[in-house]
Amino acid sequence: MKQARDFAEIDAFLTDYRPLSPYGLAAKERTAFFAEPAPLEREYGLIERGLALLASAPAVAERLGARLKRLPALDFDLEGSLGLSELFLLKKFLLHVRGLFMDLPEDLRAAAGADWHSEDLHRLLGQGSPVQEEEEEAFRLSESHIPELGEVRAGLEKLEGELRALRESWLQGLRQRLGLDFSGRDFLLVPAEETGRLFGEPDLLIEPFDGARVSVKLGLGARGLELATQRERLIARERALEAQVLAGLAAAAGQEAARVRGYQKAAERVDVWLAKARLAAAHRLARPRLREDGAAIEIQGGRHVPLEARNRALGLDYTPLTCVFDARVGILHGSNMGGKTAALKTVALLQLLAQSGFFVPAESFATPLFENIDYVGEDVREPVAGLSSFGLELNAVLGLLRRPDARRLVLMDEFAKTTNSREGAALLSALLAAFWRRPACRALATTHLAGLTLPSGAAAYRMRGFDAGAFRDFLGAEADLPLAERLARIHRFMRYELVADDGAPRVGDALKVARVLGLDAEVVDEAERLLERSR
Amino acid sequence: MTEPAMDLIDNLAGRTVFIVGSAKNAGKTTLLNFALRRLHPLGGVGFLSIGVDGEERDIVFGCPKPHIRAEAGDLLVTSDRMLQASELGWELLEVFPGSTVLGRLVLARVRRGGTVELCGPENNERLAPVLTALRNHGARTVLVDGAVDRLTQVASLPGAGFVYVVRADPARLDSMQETMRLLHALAAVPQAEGLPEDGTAVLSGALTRGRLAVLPAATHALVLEDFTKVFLTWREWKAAAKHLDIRFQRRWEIFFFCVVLWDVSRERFASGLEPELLEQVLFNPHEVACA
Repeated sequence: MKQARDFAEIDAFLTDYRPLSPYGLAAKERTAFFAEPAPLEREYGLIERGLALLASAPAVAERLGARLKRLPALDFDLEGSLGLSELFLLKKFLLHVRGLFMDLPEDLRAAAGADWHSEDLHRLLGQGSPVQEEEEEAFRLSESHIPELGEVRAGLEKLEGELRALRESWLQGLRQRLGLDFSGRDFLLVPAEETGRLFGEPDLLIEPFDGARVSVKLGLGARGLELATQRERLIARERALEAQVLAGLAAAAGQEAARVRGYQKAAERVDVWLAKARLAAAHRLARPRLREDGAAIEIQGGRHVPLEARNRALGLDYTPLTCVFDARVGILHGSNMGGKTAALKTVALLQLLAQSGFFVPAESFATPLFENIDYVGEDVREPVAGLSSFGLELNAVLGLLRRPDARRLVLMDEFAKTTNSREGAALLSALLAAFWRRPACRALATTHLAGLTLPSGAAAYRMRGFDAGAFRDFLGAEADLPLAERLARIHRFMRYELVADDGAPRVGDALKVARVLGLDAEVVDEAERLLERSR
Repeated sequence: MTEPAMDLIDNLAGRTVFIVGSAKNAGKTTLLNFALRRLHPLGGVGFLSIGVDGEERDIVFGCPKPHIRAEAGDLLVTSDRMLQASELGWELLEVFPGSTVLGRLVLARVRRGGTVELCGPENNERLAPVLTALRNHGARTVLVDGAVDRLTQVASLPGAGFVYVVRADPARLDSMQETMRLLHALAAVPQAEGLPEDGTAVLSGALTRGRLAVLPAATHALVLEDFTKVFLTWREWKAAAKHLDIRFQRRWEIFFFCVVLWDVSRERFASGLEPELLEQVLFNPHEVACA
């Protein structure tokens, strides 16, 4: 499946699929794939509901998004020993998940399983927190948990005040008596020769600094020492009481662990639905219509979005794909650069998206479901040349043939293109026949190889290809343009529509181009005769 | 201290300031404490360190280190364990992802003043969201106690600048002055604008003596990423700047140099420096004479 995903460039498309919470982002990494219709239809229904919410209540959707963004990852064992940070994160999680659930419309809340039962823990963790909305996440170990904590803190405030006042009075005295100004400083550097008059000051600590100066610090004095000792004692008591509060909160949190895990799951669901709905709205995606096994794959206006974007960047037109693949085995012909691979990529992208629970970039898309979607062709991430490439293709095919019963969609792009063309055609024909003998299997192969033998009942398609008439008109109308420039626009005359191939002999695109560009008619006629004879 | 010297500190208000030292124990944390006390009355002060700081003794040299003193209303970043072990009263505003050996990094508002050990993000990737969070919670002025040679972190953050704390002793006096001259000159380098013209070399990576030597003869201008890519001595820089128009892709700012003298008099230190450079010097603010 990974090869098929790479070929379809689904990850490139899904860069615009942006869940907002760590839970939604984790779900995105898990890449769900559904082979049964019921969970998919449910998923599609929720995306539709999300789209309706985005359209009818954008403010609510924005609020939900803001809550999701604020949800923290709880990357710890809720039943383990929770410390300060873990409790902060849990408090923040509960605050926002609660808000998320409250803001959800009733039906989405029910679908997500977003039932809130943790008001007590939410209040417990929120005790002493600021009430202003912008500070609602703040967390402190409130004195309301243990009244003694309040008394200790009040005592500390009082001592701080006394110490400050004592220090101020010392500083004032030192300024007046000795001209030492400590404002804003813990110590002073004083010329060593001036230290004589500082000795004997009971509240000064004097130490050498360098060869020319000494450092002078403020000592505590007897009263200061007494206050500082009391302060140390109260701080130690404060820490002990805070540890008690922490332990109590952690125990309460541990009892709620199962519920919290449920909230995480519900938040993930909401995040995923809304992200899928935003993606659907941004790219005008359509809900896939799921069909019974064996039914046709029907695409109307299918777009391979990454390819469309690349074309746009190059100033090239893009033709959406419209087609019906109603046979179990199909072959897609066309000239090089004629759009065969783009068509196959579009099928792959739409099918993978649909079965991953997304809407698809198409006007409409109807398809049966498969247990596997397989790709056989060049490794799009690490292309290799020649026989190595063929060997990898064969290896992929071996795996498919060994598992004959799976409902699978096999997408083959230019199989055996690096081998002898006659052998390649024979092998591809035989493989398509092998797939045909496996009733659960659907296969669609692009090729430019001639002389294939298809199983009876298989379908052939072709890309419409080069529009010689239109190109001839263009050459006539733009005769003033240099030939190189006219040739540079040749791609505009490729017609990327997919049509049924009735098997009638046709002049190939290369001969069409040769004739339009004025190659001697005698030569082109001869080439066409030779081509006809070879058929 | 003279008023112009105080202005150098007061002008840090509203800025993101990295306090970077020329060496271990240059005096960064002492300056941080001084600046915090000076700037605290203006409100909206946040601070943090790169790595670990605030310990009783320097981890490398074992010498005593100053405490960091926080006041009620300050915002600070440290680890949860450091916060719990501090003297502070606090409320937690943010817990940052990931963990350090000293616990998770947290952002706290001080409710009751006291001393604290700081512990902060160690790389640029983790530093940026911490600075953003400080700003979001109301820190207008952010002071960062930077490690030695973390100039790249200053260069990576738009709008940030630094204070360079220089420990000047007789053995290193000349080299310190050269470093200051070089930094002062680099701070004056203009920003590159527009596309490079003919004869302009755009260098990625370091500018070294070796690379200067192999520049094509027709090169008359040079564009570098930022000042941290200059690996030249003051003399080499001066020689290069004579015939090359050098510009940086990212501008940077040095707010001032704080010079901590050891066995060197102010007069001796100042006698070797240009007046415009001396205007950017704050001598150790703890150094006073008795009245």
